[in-house]
Amino acid sequence: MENPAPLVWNDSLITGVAEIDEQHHILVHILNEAGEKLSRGANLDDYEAITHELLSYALYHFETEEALMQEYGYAQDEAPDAHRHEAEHRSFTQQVLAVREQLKAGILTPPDSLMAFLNDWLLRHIMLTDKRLAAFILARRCKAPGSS
Amino acid sequence: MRDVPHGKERSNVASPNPLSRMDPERMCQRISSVLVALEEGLQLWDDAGCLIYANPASHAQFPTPEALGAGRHWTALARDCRTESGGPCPIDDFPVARALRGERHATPLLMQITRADGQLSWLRLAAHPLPASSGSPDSVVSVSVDVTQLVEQELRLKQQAHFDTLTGLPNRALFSDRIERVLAHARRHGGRLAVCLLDLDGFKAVNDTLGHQAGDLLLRKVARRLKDTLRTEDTAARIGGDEFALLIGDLNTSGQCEYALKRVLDALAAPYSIDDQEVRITASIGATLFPGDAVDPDQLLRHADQAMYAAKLAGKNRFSLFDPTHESRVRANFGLVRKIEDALARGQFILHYQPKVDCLNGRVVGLEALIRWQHPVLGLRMPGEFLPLIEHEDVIIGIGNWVIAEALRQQARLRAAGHDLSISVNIAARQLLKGQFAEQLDAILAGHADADPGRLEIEILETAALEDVVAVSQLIAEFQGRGVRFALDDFGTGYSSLVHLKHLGADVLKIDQTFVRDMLDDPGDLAIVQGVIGLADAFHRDVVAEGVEDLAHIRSLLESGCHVMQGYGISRPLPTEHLDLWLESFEPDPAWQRVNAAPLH
Repeated sequence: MENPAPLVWNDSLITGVAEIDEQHHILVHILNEAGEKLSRGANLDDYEAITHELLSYALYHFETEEALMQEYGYAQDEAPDAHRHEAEHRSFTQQVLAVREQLKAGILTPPDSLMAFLNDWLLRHIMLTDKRLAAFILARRCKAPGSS
Repeated sequence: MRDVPHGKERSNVASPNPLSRMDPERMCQRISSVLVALEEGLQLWDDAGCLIYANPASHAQFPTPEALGAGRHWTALARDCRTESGGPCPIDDFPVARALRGERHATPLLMQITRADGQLSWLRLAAHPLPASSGSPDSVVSVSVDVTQLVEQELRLKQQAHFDTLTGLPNRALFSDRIERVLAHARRHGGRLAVCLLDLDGFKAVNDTLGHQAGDLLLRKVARRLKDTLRTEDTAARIGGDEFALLIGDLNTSGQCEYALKRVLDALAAPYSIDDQEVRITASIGATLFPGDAVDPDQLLRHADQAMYAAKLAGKNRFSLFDPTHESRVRANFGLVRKIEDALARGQFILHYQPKVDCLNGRVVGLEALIRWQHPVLGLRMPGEFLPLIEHEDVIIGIGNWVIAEALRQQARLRAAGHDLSISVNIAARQLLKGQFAEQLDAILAGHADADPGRLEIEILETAALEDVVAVSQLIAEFQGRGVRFALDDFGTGYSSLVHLKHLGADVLKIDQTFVRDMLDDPGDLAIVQGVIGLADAFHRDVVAEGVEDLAHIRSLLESGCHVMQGYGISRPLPTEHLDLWLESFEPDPAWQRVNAAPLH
């Protein structure tokens, strides 16, 4: 089967919140690196390293976004969006943990379905969920110039 | 170049004293003949800036003769001239304009002229006011000197300063300049390019054994191969002894860069013939790609250098691509480790307790303490999300010690409340194998005199125990003397041999939940579960099944001879505030008892 096309960083992925965009850029890079490793035929150690990196960077990145949500009162003003956003973060982590749980029993999630999940999740999450959050934050920043 | 003397022309024209004794008509003739013979151009302007006279040399110097027609304004001349950098002449700074304003010592202007034959020539133009009796200039004289030869010689020298004399390749200065230019182009037109550093592997040995001349010859041959392998629009430069730099533009994918670098490596690795000897040499290349990496040429070179170093480390004769996210990722990882250390210091960790129930006899036999991170932003986080990130860090030892102490404290509290239960804790491989676990455990036990060491169970991953069977079995033996029990966690995932199991002497085998979860659907998993139960029985170990989700699991396990189990089918891990109530209201499910579980043998 053809390898899923790598997610290419481009302007359409930019949310406008610099700290978020910078981390997304790195996430795209991590995903592409994972895709490359998987397409070459990854072993158990590679899977361990890939999921480790994903868990690590996700924890770091989700904290950045959720701290911004707290700072700007997203959950107070846009409760359904905020809850859905957090739920998407948790579900990403759950999926990666499930892959790791399988690994423990020596089962390697098929590369295609793993990459399809990761690319699809990131693309949808950035395009739909993160952009809503970014729009909210940018509007707040405009309203209160100089204060953060 | 700017110091071409112009005093001579001035003395010829502006100091007519030696001629003053002649009669005016003769004097005029003499001056005319001098002006006609003069190599330098000379132009005379009236106070309105219109041309009165231009000598013949002027006509040869300027491309459009009409501009030197009598009565033409000086700006017509200025239009033909460009500055040193090629831009239009600044009208205000044009020497004639300045002299008309009365400036006596204005700096001469160096100008480029494209002559009628298309050749580029260089002129130096100076202008001086000729004072009238009133004081303000009534005319201006300008002198133009052709300095083309001088300028071209200087440009040639400059050019030489940009090329390496040994190989003829661009040097570092020119290379930086090229990067700048290609970068500017890529920024405007969105191209991709690679900046690479190439270092020969083992060049010093060639120099040492064959001599410097041979070394130089080799460098020239390497340079030639680089030139031949790269496209003409790409650049190879020599930037140090045996260090070269490559600039590869017009890339569509990073794969194209890799392809080009492979070709370079192959080309350089083919044998060289030097003084009738066959010489072989390879290269290590580090490359970084724009866009993706930095925008500053120096930084790109530094990153290429880092990648080159990585290629050397990885075994030479290869290339390595710089990872621009590497630093941020390392920083993110390091930041997380610091956060977890901080979380420990701030008391952000808590334990939840999952009951272990003997379903045959219908009683609670113990609790497994499970760590949670009460994250200030992300809420309650599971251990699988953060413990893997610190499994190779010392903070995992601090966390392990905290878990043991907290579990012992809880055990003493529960005992006082009438629940005499064994509590098990999970200890990481690093703590077990690298730290001073025996001393640490002794110290913690000593600090909790009210807790019962015989009611403490240490859970070790089977995979961790297998990392050093001897050390772990010693630990187990040492603490068994003090009543502490050991369990092998996730049993079945580590492929222990029977010999290991015999040596390890653990008291309990815990069947991994992945096998339990699928045991009803997957005969292979059922076989593993039954196999572990059989092993435990044969080696006289206790057995606990993890991940029990429903009644069917419980019944199947009881039928297979495993009585003690834990999992959502019995209870989720409980926070302490719910634990006591759960323990007090515990009733065995009568449905368990309907199974007539027979012992396995």
